[in-house]
Order: sequence, then C-alpha cells, then structure tokens
Amino acid sequence: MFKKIGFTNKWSVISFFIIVLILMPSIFILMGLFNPISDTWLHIRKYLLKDYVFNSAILVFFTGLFSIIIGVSLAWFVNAYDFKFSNFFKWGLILPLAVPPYIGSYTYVGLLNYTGIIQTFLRNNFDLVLNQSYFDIMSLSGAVFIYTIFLYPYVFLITHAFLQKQSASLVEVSKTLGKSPVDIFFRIILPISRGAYVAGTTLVVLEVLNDYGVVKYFGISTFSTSIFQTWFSLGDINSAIRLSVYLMGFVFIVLLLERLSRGGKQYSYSTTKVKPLKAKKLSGWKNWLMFSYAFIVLSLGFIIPVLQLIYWSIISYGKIVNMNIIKTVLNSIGVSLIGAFIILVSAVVIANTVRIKENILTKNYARIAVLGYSIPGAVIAVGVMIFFLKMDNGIQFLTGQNNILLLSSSIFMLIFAYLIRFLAVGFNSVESGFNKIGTDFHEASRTLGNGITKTFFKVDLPMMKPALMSGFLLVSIEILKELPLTLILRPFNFNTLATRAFEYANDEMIHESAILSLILISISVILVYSLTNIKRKGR
Amino acid sequence: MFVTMKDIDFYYDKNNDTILKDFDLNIHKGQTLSILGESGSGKSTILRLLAGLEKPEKGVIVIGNKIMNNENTFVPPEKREVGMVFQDYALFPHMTVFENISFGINHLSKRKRNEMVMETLNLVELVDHSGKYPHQLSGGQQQRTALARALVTEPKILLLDEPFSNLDTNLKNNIRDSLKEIISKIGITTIIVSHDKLDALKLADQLIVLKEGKIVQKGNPEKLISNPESIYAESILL
Repeated sequence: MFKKIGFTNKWSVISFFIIVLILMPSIFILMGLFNPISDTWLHIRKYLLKDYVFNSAILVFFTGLFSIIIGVSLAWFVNAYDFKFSNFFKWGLILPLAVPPYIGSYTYVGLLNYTGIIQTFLRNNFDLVLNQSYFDIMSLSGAVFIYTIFLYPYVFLITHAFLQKQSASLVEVSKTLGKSPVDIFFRIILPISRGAYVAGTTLVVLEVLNDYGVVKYFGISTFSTSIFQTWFSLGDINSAIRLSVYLMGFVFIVLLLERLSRGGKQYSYSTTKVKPLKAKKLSGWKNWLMFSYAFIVLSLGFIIPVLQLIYWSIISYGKIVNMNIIKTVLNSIGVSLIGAFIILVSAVVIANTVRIKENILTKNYARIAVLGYSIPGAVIAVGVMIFFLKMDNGIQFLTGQNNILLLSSSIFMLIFAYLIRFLAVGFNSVESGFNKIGTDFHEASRTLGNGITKTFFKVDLPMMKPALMSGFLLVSIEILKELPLTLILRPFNFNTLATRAFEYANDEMIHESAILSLILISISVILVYSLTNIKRKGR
Repeated sequence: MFVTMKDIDFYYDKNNDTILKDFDLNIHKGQTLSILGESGSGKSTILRLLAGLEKPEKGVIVIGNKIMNNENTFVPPEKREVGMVFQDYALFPHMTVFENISFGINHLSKRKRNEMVMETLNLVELVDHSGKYPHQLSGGQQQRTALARALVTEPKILLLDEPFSNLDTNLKNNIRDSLKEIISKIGITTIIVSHDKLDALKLADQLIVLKEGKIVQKGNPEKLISNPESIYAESILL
C-alpha cells in the first residue's frame, strides 16, 4: 500500500467545504440538546418514549429476522440450483425494491379490506364472511410483513453477490464428507456468508428506522412518526431534536451490533484459485417446490401489489390523468436527476481526494460521507431545516429585510438533504470504481505531465463510467422513492410522485394514488433493470 | 551528477518500519543504473520518489540541475519531466496505442504530435499496431507501447519498474535486447528496478544492491556478480 503524495489542491479544498457543509445539520442537532427542556418533552419521556422504543425494536428485530430467512435462502437457491426460471429470479427477486414500502402498505390494505378483491371474491363465490381481524394488516405484525416483503432484496442482493464469488470446493468437499444439502446450508453457507447477510440486514433495519410512510398509515408510534408529530402538530422543535438524538442512539446500537456480529470472525481462502459453484439441475417436485417458493415471494413483493395498482389505475385513470400528473412526474424525475448529479459530483470530488491525498483528515472524509445513510430522514430533516433557517437569519441580518426566507423555502434545502442522506450510496459506487482501476493509470498520467484535474477527466473518468452510471442510477432510485425528507423539506406547492401518492393514500383516495404509484414503480423498475444490466456487462 | 538523492528519509506509515533512512544516490548523465534487491528492500520506492509519486520526509532530490525536492520545494510528478514504465504498464484501456503514446504530448500541435508519435512508434517497431487497443497486444507489444509513451515526452530520465516481470522467459531475452538497443540509441539516463541479476548484467553499466533501504554494494555489474561482498549480496547476485 503506497502512501500518497500530499499537498493542498483544488480537490481537497472543495472536499473540505462539502464535508463541513454536510456536518452542519448534525452539529445543530447536537447543539439543540442544550436548549431548555419543555413540558412536551417531559410528557413524551414519561408516557410515550417506551412505546416508541418498544415498537421500533419489534419492527427492527422481526423485519431483520424474516429478511435474513427469505433473503439468504433465496440467494442460496438461485446460486446453487438450476430450477424453472432461476436465471430470471436472479434479478427478478430484486424487483420488490422498486416498490416503496408505503405504497405496498396501502395496496395491501386495499387488497385485504372488506371491499377488497380477496374478501369480495370469498363472499361472492363461497358466501364466506370472515372475522375482519383476520384481515387486519394495520398492526405491528402487518408492518413487519410489509417491510420484510419489500426490503428483503437488500439481504438477497448482497448475499447473492457474495455467494457468486464462493468456491465450489467447499460444497464439493462437504458432499464427499457425507453432508446433506441441508447440512451444507446450515454448517457451511450460513457461517461463511454471515458478513454479507449482516450487511444486507443492516440496510433493511436502517430503512425500517428511516421509514415514515408505513407506520404513519398504520397508526404505529415510532421515532419517525413522533418526530413529525412533535414538530408539526405540537410545534416543539426542541423536543423533536431530543427525539432525533434518541433515534440516533438507536441507530448507533444497530451499527454497533452489526460491527460485533461481523467483526468476530473473518474467513478467507487458503488458495487463490477459486472455482465458482456450478448450479445443480433440479427436476420433478424439487424443481416445482423451488420455483413456487421464489414465485410466491416475488408475487407478494411485486406481482400482486403491481396488479392491484394496475386494476385501480384502469378504473380511475379518467379522473386522475391531467396536467398535474405530468407536472408531478417531471418534478420527480427532475429532482432525482439533479439530486443524483450533485451527489455523484460531490462523491467523486471526495473519493478522489481521499485516494490522492491519504491522511487522517481524508480518511475521516470517507467516514463522514457514508454517515448520512444511517441517519433517518426525519432527523436529517430537523437538522437541515434548523441549518437553513439559521442561514436565512444571516441573510436577513445582512440585507436588513426581515421577511425573506430565501434558502429555507427553496428546492436547495431538499437537494441538500438528499446530499446528506444519499451521499453514501454515490460514494460507495465511486469508491469501488476507483478501487477497481487502482492508482497506476493515474500515476502514469501524472508522470506524463498531466495534473490531477486533467488526469481525472482524461483517464479516471472514462475508465469509471460503469461505476459512475451505477452510482447515478442507485441514487436516482433512492431519491425517486424518498418520502420523509421530501414531505418535510419540499418547497410550497412542490409535489413528487412519492409525496402525492402518499397524500392521496393517507386521505383514503387509494384509486387516485394508484396511477402515481404505478408510474413511480415503473420508473424504478427501468432504473433497477438498467442497473443490473450495467453490472452484468461490467462482469 | 545528473541525478542526486541526498539524505532521504521515507516511510509509508509512521508506526511501521522506515523504508529509506539517510539514503544517498548519484547517477551520471547517460548512465544506466540497475537496482537489485529483495521484495520490500525499497527499490520501487526510489523510483516513486524520483517520479514525485511519493514525498520524502526529508532530503534533497535533484534531476538535471533542477531541485525537485528539499525543505521548501516539492515538484509534482507532472512537472518533473520523468518517464516511467510501470510494472503492469498501466496502458489506458480506453485509448489506442497511438492515443496512449500521444497522451503526454497533447499540448503540442497535431502535426508535431503525429510526427513525434510516428517517430517513437518506429523506434519501438509498433507502427503497424498503432490503431490497436492495449488488450489486442501481446505482452511484449504492451511493454514497448508503455516504453514509447514514456519516451515520446523526451524525459530527462527514464524509470523502469520491474519491466520484464510480466513476460515469459523466451520473450524476456528478446525484449531485453531491444530495450538495450533503444536506450543506447537515445542515450537517456535510465534507472531499472529488478530482482533479476540478468537484467542488470545485460542492461546496466552501474549496479547497486539494496537491503532494507541501504546500499550494501555498488559498482560495475560484472565485477559485482563475480565478487559479492556479503551473504545477502551473494543471494541476490548469484
């Protein structure tokens, strides 16, 4: 490992500026802890806090557990066995990621309620009127189901990628030692892929803690909903700040658990020759069993909700399709593209600085850049809002005009919040791109008389196109689906597909919500498909 | 002296071992110096310090009367006029042979650039391959492209980091001969880092044996090989 030459340049100055900017909201949140305690906070702490902790803990634990069961088993099956449509399932099982959980939640409520397709079918065909509590999904266990079925792909994706690189010899030697497929799964596959599925599960858990849409719609009190409520209904920003700090404590425990469960054991091969596993062809009932399992999961996570949304869209499109929808679509696409572009540029600047100028300061840049993804949207929203209001106060002071809110009423505030929340996604893609090309090309260009910037545009950038494209698509998908930040920080009268779909659903206008949701999911599917295509080509 | 390194201290990590300590090196103009030593002895670090890819903790580096490094100065790699051939060649995969070679002289007029690239292509006998991409070349052709790319900028010194490590033995002998021919044709000051004594014997007129960042023996390659002064030098040279 070579130590990189160190001297100040444009790249490190801009990186420093970006890092300071993205740290500001967190600093304001921490400073808010020194504000006086209000009666609201005393009430929350005494009567409500334990509910928030209990509900969040239940959601996190069971969603995490079920995501591991579904994600790891499916990842193993599509890797180790060749069954009906198994090649399609390798990418098809990622599709539920295109459905934001809040859209999934109201789709399932619509499917299962008294007038929904399932109960209507049972009533009309079999004269069956069942106890309504059987169909009540608006509960903690219902939320666990929704989160699991739409978020398990994080575990599936990372574990699948990990297993693809594993050696066939581990499985082959186990077979020669008389182990059954079940033994091999539990005693070999599960232990070696622990790092991968723990990483995937951490993403699932962070998404659960970040979510606002599902729990709000289901009426479950969690940290996210309570931050919204304390801030907007009770107007108590200081208590919202305290709740944010508690939520960050929760996130910290999750990350600590991740580190503990990953750091204990690390496995590496004793040989450099790794022969990939060859999928075993299945036939007969085993083939159908495997297919059915994958198909049921995909149906629950994608096919059924999408079909339901299509049905609702067909019966209501005349009422809904108008210029406003087009405007909402353009808003969503516009904000996703602009946000993703700004995030990618920032990620490139920081990652290039970290790579060229390796020292304690820049190592921390990398840590700070990825920090935002673990901070729930509601917390970032609180911090960003305070930061922008302070800046507006400064502008008012400088201009002498007391009634202008230049920054805090602009789209910049929302884009800046996206930058904090999703910089990690862009940064990880860019960093892996840089790691892949190494430093030799960069150094060769430098010795041929080109500076850092020219080298970046002429050498690094063309070689990193796939990584940058992946990063851009990933960030676009995230922004497109994002709800809590957009709900809080969007400018007046600015709607995206996500906010509009959520608002309609929350106002019990589910049919109206369907078309918007469907458009959002369609764009996400196109982006997810492009992403898997880039990755396949890259390999 | 054309190249001077004086009192150089260098380490990658403060807490780990020092790579070079009070290191001195002097090279005459037009000389070809070979540095031999085992892995981790600091051979490649010397090249990277000369190229400006690393910054020493202390010491002075002078190339062709120009101070590249001292207490107050650090000339970045792009301003050093040093040609370097990397161990894995680092040919830009998205550029053709022609584009790779002309990359370092993009600031010149198109006519001048074409002229210089063609001249260098002739020198390394790659005229017929100028439109190919690096992955379409053999190992030897890749190496000659990397050499041409380094030479076309008319550098003051040429640095070769394990230039033959990616070639098989038969090819290595041929390439070594043609490299010697090219170097002596243009008379450039050259430093070759290698762990193969044959490289030193065939290419260099000066040889140093390096151990843990210190020169343990130096002199004419043939004399050194016939008279190693320590067990370490013997293990490297025989």
